[in-house]
Amino acid sequence: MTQLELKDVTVYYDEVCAVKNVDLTVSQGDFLGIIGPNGGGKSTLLKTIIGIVAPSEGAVIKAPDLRIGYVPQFSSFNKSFPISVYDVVLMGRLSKGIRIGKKYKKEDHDAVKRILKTLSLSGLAERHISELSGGQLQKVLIGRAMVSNPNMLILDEPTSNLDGAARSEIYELLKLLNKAMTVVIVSHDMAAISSYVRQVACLNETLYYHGDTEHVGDGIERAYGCPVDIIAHGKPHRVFIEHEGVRL
Amino acid sequence: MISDFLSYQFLQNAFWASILASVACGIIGVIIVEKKLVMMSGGISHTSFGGIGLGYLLGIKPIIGGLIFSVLAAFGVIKIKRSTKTSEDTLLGMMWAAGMALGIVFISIRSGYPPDMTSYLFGDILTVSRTDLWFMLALNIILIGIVFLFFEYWKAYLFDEELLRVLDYNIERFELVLYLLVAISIVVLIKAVGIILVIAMLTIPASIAKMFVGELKKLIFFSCILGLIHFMIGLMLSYYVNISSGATIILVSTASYGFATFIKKYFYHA
Repeated sequence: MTQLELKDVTVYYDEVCAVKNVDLTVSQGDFLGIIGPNGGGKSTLLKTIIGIVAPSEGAVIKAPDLRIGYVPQFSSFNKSFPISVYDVVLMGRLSKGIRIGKKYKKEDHDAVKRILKTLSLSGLAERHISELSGGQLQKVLIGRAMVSNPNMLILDEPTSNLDGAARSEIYELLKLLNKAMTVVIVSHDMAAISSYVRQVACLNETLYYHGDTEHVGDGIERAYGCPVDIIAHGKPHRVFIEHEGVRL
Repeated sequence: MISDFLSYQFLQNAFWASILASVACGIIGVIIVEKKLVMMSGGISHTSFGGIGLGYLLGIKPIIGGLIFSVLAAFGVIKIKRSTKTSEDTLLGMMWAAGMALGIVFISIRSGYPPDMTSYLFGDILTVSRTDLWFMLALNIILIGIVFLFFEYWKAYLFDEELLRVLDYNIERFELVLYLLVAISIVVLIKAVGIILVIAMLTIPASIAKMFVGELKKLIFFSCILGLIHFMIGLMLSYYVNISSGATIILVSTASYGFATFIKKYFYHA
């Protein structure tokens, strides 16, 4: 079932074109990786999907029951902010529309406790966020996105600040979550992403490939403008291709 | 001082003004420190000097002129920032200088004996009048109302405004209200600590509290208390040694910041 469809989406920032003529379909249960070089419009595309940036042309069509849980980049929020793990996750229960004197209800607190338990973060609930490791903080943000009970989880560069072990832990977690919901990741970390995601979209201003990971090779090269290493998912084999003039 | 306090109206006024200023400092100080708006607050406070000068020129209460100018400055920064590519920092630098210059110009074209502007620059809490107190109280009530009735939203805005954007909140409106709150608070503080020193009053208690407290409401509460302590000690010192109260309060705060850093480093392990 199609949850999200981008139809010929183009985004301009003033005169600069960030995303051009992108058609993309995300179906229920997909594990999609949007990859591409830095400055290739990945974050813009994501922002268009979650509705922060309006497309200059084209349309974003969302299924009526689509509930997006969004996990931001590490650089987008205030990491020294005086807030505990529990309160960060609780913030995910905010819903549309401002209410005077807003207080969280018992069901909000129950949902937070449930999520913290699921992610084995209960022991860290009272911890200040500046005291967490990168991996723990990423899990807290995933928890915040999940507490609103989404059916699609969208993550912007979820592992860019993490070391190897924490990185695979996050990917394993996403793989697990993918059993219950659609997962969309934006990343330039292709090596890691390609062994977990099942669909991939190669973006460098426009979409060069969108489909299963098995057949991606050529699309990535065109998106990056040069050959790239790929680790196919499930199979630990590396495909080395010679770059012009460079021996790898 | 206690017997003086009971018999002199101006000391009682200074006491109430300290409380009102501390509350405003605590609330807004924490917000501007977290949102990194210290420079912006500096710009707004100095721009208000133009309004104070205009107040003297037109013969209205200078603080009203200051309020109008600081509110206009807040609107101006947002408006210009959104419609041009000029960075906020550069704009503030310009407004900062232009506001001060306007104040001086207004005062010099006013006929008659020039008023003593140092009380607006460095503050003079001992000259706070009853009317000033009511004015400060009203502004404080507005401030507390807007911050605490929408506290959960402010918290999200300060921590991660993108979350609110995803939920389709109007972030520009949050920004506008916040800038207005900053403008209002600065006016509340001008009479007590003055334009130049208002920034220290907004940032020091909040930064000290942040060393020891990890929760937003507590942080605000402790900033208010710390602000009040600084005011009281500064006020007493200035009363006995007969030096400028505004400057003394700030120096007490700065010393207190140094002391807190020392305590934090050697004695306090959270």
